[in-house]
This record gives sequence, C-alpha cells and structure tokens, in this order.
Amino acid sequence: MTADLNAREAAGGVFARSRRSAMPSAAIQAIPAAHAGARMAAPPPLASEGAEPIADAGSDETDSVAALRAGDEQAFVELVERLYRPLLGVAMIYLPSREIAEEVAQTWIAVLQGIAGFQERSSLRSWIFGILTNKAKTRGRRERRMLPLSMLVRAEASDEEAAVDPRRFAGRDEPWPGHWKTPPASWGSEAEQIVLAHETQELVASIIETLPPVQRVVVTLRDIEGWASSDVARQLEITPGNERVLLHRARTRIRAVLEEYIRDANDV
Amino acid sequence: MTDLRLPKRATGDPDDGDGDLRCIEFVELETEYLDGALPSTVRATADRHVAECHGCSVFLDQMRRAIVVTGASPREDVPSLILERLLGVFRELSSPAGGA
Repeated sequence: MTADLNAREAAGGVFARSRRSAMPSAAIQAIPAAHAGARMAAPPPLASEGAEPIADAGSDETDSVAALRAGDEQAFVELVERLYRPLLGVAMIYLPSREIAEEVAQTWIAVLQGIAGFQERSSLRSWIFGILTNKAKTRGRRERRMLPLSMLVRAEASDEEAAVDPRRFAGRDEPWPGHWKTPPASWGSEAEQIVLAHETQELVASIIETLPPVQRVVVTLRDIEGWASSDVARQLEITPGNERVLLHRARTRIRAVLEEYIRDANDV
Repeated sequence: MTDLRLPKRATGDPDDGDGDLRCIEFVELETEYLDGALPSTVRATADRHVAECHGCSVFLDQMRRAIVVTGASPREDVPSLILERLLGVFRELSSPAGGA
C-alpha cells in the first residue's frame, strides 16, 4: 500500500490517501501557481495521464490476503475502512439506501468465509467487489427494483447538462462563436487555502452525495480512491468512454459548485 | 455495451474546418485530456488551445483543483455496530476452532 501510494504521489497524482485527512502533497504541487495572466504551454502531468498508473491493486494485495488468512485483525479493519465508501457506492447502484450497509456487511462476511479458498486469479479488490456486485444484483432483481445498469448509465451520460452553462460562451451571431464570453475568474492566491479548508472538503463531500448513483461511484473510485480508469470501467461493466463521460459530469458539477462558492466567499 | 461518448451539444457548427478547438468544446474534452485518452491530433489541438486561451487555462486549473479537493474529502466512517459485528465474525472464523 505504502509503496503504491508513494509511486502515485511521486508521479504528481491527485489520488487518494490511505489515511483520512492525509493530503497528497505532491498533488498540490502538481497544480501550477494561480494564473496571473500567465499562459501555460503544457499542463503538468497528472498521474493518470498517458499510461494507466496502476494496472490493478498493488503488491500489498498478497500481503492483505496473507494477513486476513493469518487472522490479523488490524489488517482486516484497515481493509474494511478503506473499501467502505467504494463498496457502499457500488451497492447504491443496485439497492435502495436502507439496504446498502447491510449488503456491504454481508459481503464482508462472505469474504471472510471465502478467503481461505480464494484462488488469487483476480486481485483481492476485484474479488471483493465481484462478491458485492453479484449479491446486490441478485437482491435487486429479486425485489424487482433494479434498473439495468445500462439504462442508468445511458440516462446519466446522455443527460444534456453541459460542463459549463452555454450562455457563458459567445453564440453563433456574436464574435468568436463558441469561445468564452464570461470566462471563469482565477481563484486567486487564496486558492491553495480554499482547497485545503476542511469546510471546502465537506462541501465537496456533500455535492458528491447529490450526484446520480453511477456518477457518484465513478468519481469516488477515480478521484477519492485513486482507481485507474480501466479498473473502474471493468468493475462497473461500462465502457471506458462512458466511464469518462460520467466522471466528467461529476467533476464539472463539483467545479461549478466550487466556482460559485469561491465567488461568494470573495464577494464578502 | 453502447459507448455514448460525448453527446453533441447545441454549439452551433461542430467544426469550422480549421482544426481549432473552441472553448465550448474544450470544456467537454477535459477529462479525456487529463486522462491522456484523446487521440494525439486532438491532444495537440487541445494543448495549443489551452496555451493560447486564458479562460480555458483557468478552467483547466480549476478542474485540477476540484479533483484535489475531491481526493481530500473526508472518508466515511464505518458504523461501529457494523465494524463490531464484522470483527466478531472475523474472530470466530480466525480462531482455531472456527473457520474450516
């Protein structure tokens, strides 16, 4: 785990931390200083640029499996805590909210019962998520409340909401059609503090809560848990293209709320 | 699995033929841009656009910051009742008598 995270942070990743509150410092440094009219020749690389950062879960996987089999309680608790939100997110796609915590608990019980016989043909993480997905699907189907995932994805991805309000761009009869008419204002030199503020992080957590279920799980796995795009697509059984559309919707929604929040804060 | 990609927006002419990107298009490509998932020709066009367009470079910077804040959003606690229950199962299955 540690080596895994270090590698990502060294690459300037924006990825999740293994401990609550630990902010990936390299991710902050990867952000260019606020633009004071400066033009950026090329954006600094994110860890996810180009090649996928990690094919699947890291080399700590084998250790986790061994620790679980050996009865290492601490390792078990850490794993449960680390995967809690992602598992809830996936369960939420298939089940009503009152049932998701129980489904996640049942998944862990199945994991504990099955770990001795786990063949390690897939990663531990994939195996755990596979158990949850199967259970949640079965239960959702039994209760006939489950919309096929493809329908959810189609609805969420084809939603015509643009990344930015189209009125902020020049119309076809104006000079420079399609270019900014009301460009975003730079967040200024306080942006660093704003980004780090606990209140901002709480705000973002609450925006994520309001996202449609598949967008919510995609942004959770990608931007909070640091999964590779291909892993998220595979786990949710959606195309990489749709995965990015959903992630884009989620990210642009978060950016838009932050923009409003920071503008209001600067106005005061 | 149908791949919906980015839906066409009501953005006027989709392409004016000069191979340049308009801001309204760039803001929709950003996640693919950050993922390095754009075809190299589009990528080069996007690089050029962001180098020349202050509004889009600010927008890109804000997207990056939004991603960082998201990554730092507080982790949800596992309810203690659930954790206790799972630990109970874990201990039972891990004890020499349990499990197998």
